[in-house]
Amino acid sequence: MLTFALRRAVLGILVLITVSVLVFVSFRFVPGDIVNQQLSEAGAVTPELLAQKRAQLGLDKPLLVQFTEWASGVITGDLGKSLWTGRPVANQIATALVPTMQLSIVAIIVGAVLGIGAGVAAALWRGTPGDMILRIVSTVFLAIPQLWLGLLTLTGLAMIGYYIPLPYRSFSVNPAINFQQVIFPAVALSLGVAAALSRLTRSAMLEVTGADFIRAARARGVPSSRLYIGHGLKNALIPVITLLGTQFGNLLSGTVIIEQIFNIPGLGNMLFEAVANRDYPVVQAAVLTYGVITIVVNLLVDLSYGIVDPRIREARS
Amino acid sequence: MSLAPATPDATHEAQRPRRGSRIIAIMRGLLRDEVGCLALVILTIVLVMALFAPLITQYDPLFQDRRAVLKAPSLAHWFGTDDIGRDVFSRVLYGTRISLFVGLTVVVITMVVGGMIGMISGYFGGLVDMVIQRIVEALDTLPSLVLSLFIAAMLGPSVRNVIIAVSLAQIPRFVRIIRSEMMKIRGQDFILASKVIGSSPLRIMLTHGLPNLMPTMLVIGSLAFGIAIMTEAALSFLGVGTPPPNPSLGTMLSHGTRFIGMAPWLIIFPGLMLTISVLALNLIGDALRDVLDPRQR
Repeated sequence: MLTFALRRAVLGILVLITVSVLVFVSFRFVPGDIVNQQLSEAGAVTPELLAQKRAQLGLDKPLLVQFTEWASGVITGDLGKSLWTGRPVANQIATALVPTMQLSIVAIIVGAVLGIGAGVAAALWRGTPGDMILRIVSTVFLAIPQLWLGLLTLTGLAMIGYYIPLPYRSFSVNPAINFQQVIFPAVALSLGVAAALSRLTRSAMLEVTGADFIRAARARGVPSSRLYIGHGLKNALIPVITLLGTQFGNLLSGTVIIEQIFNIPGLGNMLFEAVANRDYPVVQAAVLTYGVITIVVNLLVDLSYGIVDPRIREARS
Repeated sequence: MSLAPATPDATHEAQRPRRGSRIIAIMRGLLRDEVGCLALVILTIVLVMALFAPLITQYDPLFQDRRAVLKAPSLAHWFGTDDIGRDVFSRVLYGTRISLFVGLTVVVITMVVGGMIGMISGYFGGLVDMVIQRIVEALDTLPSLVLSLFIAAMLGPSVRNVIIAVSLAQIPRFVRIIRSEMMKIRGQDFILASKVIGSSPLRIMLTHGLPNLMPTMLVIGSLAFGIAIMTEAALSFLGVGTPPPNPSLGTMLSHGTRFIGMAPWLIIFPGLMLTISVLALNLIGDALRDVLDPRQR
């Protein structure tokens, strides 16, 4: 198990290196340059000033040197300084990561509970109007863009005269305000996940409940509630976990939008501003962070297969 | 898929389906499927509304009527008006035009580029496959909207750049699926036979690979269409998509956030159009999958 996890972690790091090379190279080849932008904002652009500022920020060195310097910094935990504010990027990332992770984790939990619950219920009620309604609802929610769902939530809240308190407060500073700020966007994010999960859970459950061991258990007199949850759901869980992993990626995409709608200073917000300002170190670090999150989630998904299914655990050791 | 007969006789020639008849068969299957039929009807209505927008509404989507500012939906303005007196119904129709145009272009680009790279990767294997897969893996690590946002913001707001950004974010997934499908058929007899008689890899991919991969491509293509429309709206909402004053559904939503609670119609109608279009495309994708692969039903 441990060697398996380690091997996956090494592969993940290799992928991250590829990501950073791609971002590094593509970013520098695109028109629009921070130095020009900064100086023109200050009102004076002369060739000497441009060159001086570039040297100061280390942008005059060859690309390969810049990349090596940056990469060796990353290994020691130094993500560089923002070209715009001069603040260490690592601090900024750490601050922005908290709300984004809080939002996604609450959303994935709500989504998993709603989705798996609805899926199991639909499988139990197969062919009844209840099943039909759940299927229609999940199909519709799968098509609603997170963007609109977020805006509808805000509209609905405004109609009943409730306004989410601003500005953003972290959980450690003010849990009560933080809860109000996170719960609505998290629920808006979770509904798409729930819809996708419920469809898959339903079909996985139906597939499993047709299997011989379920018939055998039923013949032994196992009550149907235990039959579905204990035998059925446990065996339907592998594809559900896989989907949960891929849905986390969609969720992260969604946070970029939702953070903007609900004024949450998360990673998406930070990336958005940094790209607009051509703040290379911040963009690189933010993109890398998204990569790390995805790789960690994929690793967790892979490891959980072994926990759910002993046969996989056996095969790996 | 069986091996083509070595000496095709007349009866076999007659039985072999003609080119294009497969598409007709798929369409017929789609129409026989209740949900697929309904989805096709909805999509057709959306398409007609977008294409014939100038005939359906008498309002110019850019015309500002200062006497009708932030008016709620009425007989004169079906979807109400925005803060500078522009007709929301007409803006939704013209915005749908842009959405569908971007979506369709993205799907075509993704299918051609992603399909080609996927087939090459799956057919040749080896070093080519290795390199392509590492790049796909890397791009796949980033949430698709993060990737699109990064590219779109770098290139600057324009319809062309949105198409590039959304396509690039969709291609990796396409490549992965097409590659695995290509690998499945690579070792089959009809491909080997074609190789033996000296067909070039390009010919094998186009005459044997493509027709076999087409069903898969259609299914993921219709889903990608919906995703593309949503991504375009998201990018426009963030201000790096379709530039104003073009009426894009995403820009309209972003504009509407300023009057949240005051003028809900600015949020409801553009989003509703977005959802209906995506819903129809998703349902077509589902129905296509049922028609093409009845085992999964």
